[in-house]
Amino acid sequence: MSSEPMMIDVRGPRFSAAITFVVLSVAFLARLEALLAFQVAIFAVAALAGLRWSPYGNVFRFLKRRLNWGPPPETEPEAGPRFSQVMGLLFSGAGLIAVLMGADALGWALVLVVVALSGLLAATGLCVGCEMYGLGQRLRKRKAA
Amino acid sequence: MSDLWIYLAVVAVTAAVGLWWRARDGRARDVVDRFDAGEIAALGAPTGTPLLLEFVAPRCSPCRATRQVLDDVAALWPEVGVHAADVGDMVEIARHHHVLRAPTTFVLAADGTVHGRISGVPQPGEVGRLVEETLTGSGHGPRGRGGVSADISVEAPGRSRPGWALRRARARLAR
Repeated sequence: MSSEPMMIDVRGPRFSAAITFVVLSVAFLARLEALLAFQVAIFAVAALAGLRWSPYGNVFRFLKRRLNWGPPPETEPEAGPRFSQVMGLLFSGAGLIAVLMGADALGWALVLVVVALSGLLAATGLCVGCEMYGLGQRLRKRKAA
Repeated sequence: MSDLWIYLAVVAVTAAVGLWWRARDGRARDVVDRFDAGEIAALGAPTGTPLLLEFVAPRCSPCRATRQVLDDVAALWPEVGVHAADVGDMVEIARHHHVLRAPTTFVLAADGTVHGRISGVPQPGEVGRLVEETLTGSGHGPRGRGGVSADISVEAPGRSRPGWALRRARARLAR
């Protein structure tokens, strides 16, 4: 019924999550709104234009070729990771808006959520966003059934 | 400075969650559960035989990896069947058994009693161990009765490819 899903190397999202973790950690610890805004923009590109356009994803692909990291050990449909980018955009975007409006505590707390989840993905491969996406898909199927 | 403490606390909690998840993922959990004959028939699986039942979802590559593991185990124990059921098709049964994640594997005795369930790709040796316990009819069967389980656990550390360990064990048994 649906078209063939685009499959991506599972290492890509983990690599991107590692960069995100570092960027947002620095932004939080140094209270750098500009760096936070930068990360929000990164999320926006991947979420809206698709993972093919993800800046960190492109760095990953470049390094993969250059440093010869070999073929993917496993591939996954891009839908889950893309949904995670949307979640990242929403949380970090909301955080940025809160910070710019003066609600520092709330704003940076939202950023910490993204720090935690991107750290988790980078370190363990557990993508909470992907799991939520899968759960959502199954719940939608149940409603339709 | 308090920012740093907050940050470290968040990282520590996240690391704890990560470790907890890693420890559980692919490992068998003891549950009190049973699939009755009606459910097994509805799933299209063979009744009255020990069964490796995997709940899958479309386009789920860990589900395929899991199927490979289950097929390898079933090759070692021919009396054990393997069956895959789609979570989306078998909605009611999945819900009844609290299946939230794909892949989720149940190791069933011939009467449908669940001897263990595994979320995610099974760790090496986990399924074989459960099958041995199921077939010997004991809740806590001895590990390494000169059999397959201990060798698999020792030879295939961490998250290496399960199929490799099982194939080697099979070769060892065949000797």
